[in-house]
Amino acid sequence: MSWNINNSAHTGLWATVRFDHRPASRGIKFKDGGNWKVDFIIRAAAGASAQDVQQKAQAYANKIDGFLTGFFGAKYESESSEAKALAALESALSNTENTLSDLGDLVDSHYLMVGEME
Amino acid sequence: MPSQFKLTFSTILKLLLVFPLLISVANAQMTEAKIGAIKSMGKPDEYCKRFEIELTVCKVIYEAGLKKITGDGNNEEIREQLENNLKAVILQPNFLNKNLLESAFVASKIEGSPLTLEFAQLDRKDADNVLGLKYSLDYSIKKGYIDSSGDWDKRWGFKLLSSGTITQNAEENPRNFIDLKVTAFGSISTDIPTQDKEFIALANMLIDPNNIDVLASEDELTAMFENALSPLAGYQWYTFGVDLGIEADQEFKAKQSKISGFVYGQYESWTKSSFIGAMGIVPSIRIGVDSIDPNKETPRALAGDDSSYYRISGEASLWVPLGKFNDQPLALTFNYRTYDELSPSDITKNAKLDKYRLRTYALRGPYGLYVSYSSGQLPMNFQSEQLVELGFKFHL
Repeated sequence: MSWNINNSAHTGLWATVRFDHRPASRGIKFKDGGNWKVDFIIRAAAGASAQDVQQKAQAYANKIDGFLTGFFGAKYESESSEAKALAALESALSNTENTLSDLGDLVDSHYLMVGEME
Repeated sequence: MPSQFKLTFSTILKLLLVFPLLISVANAQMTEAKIGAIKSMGKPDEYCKRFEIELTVCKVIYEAGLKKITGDGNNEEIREQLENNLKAVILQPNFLNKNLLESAFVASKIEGSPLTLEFAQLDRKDADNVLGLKYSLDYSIKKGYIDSSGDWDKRWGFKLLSSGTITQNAEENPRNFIDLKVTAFGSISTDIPTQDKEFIALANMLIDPNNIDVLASEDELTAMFENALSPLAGYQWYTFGVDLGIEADQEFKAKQSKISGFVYGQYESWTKSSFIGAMGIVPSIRIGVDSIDPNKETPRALAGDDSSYYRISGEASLWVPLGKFNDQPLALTFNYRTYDELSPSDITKNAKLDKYRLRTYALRGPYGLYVSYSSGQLPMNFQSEQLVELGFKFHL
């Protein structure tokens, strides 16, 4: 599924990133947010080493996980876990070619949002 | 057909095999009037829509077929031109990434795996660009969490990491470097506090499709989050660990083993009372001690010193938000990297292989870099990591 405003995992992810990059991100639409590149989102500096990018990806994956579970009440899908979700997020955030929409489906596959719970 | 890749290339193959036969039959019965009619049609776009192949590839085949039918050149000339034009179209990073790596067949093999592949055009100094395949492997061997109370998340882990760029001829590779290592690490980070049911219900309502793009909802959500995070000073991330690995060229002729100890820290202030919090500046720093054991083919050994050595490496980054540009966030980034060999020999010092510095400034938005400026140099074994070119570069 592509970047979808009707998917609460996608909107929760965008709300987290938009909050994290405030105030400059204020008013930017969900649709445009899907095109943001992950190296901008994790605040990777141009010229940085692979280790630096990897650390920032790990830190940001932890932050996304904290917001989704702590602020939006998300749980992990039955076939996922905190370790699996974080590993998948870290890997996707380390790949500087990815955009936020690429993370959308990944978040959807690892997290169960409040509206999806029985 | 399960594979788009197979379909695409089998269609190209069919076109290449069938086209000359059709042409030869058609050519035998071709009259000047028919040739004129075919030439006047000249609509490769419409013709190519019927085939499930890239328009650029189809156009090349179509043009060659048209030349053959109309007798524009002899067989050898047309064949050579077709071959060259197909190479020019197919051996391009965009074409290969889209039709090979993103094909259903390859994507199904690497999706969800720790392996990332990407074709790229590599710039070479005073020489033609060369096609390269960049790869990175990030495999978590073992990972765990330490239960603890308080404001910190604590974890540990082991990872297998590798990255590099491979070209058909190693001599042509401007980033001829493979990095392979196992890393053991521990990290601590700020724990985001879990909120109550009312907070969670309201937060979910404010991100539903009717509210996510409404400014008032965004402001309400921001206020809620800021209030929930106010007891914390900011978001902190610290890692320490050990890397064991090898660095080599793509043929593994020049190689060196490496053992490194490192610490890393990143701090994002959430209070407006501090300078970096008010400005939104996010600093990070990494300091490492490396023990390097090179073989006789490495640049330093070729200069006359193949002894093992210790090196201090450091890296600092700054992220400075500058507001908005074209209605999108704009940020200034700064990165400084330093490598200093401890107690270098006179041979190493005279060859200027003992100290390296690299500074990079860049202006960037969420869709990529606008402009960057880089000065200095990295050790030979770190050239592959250089993301921007030296000097000013506009990325518009």
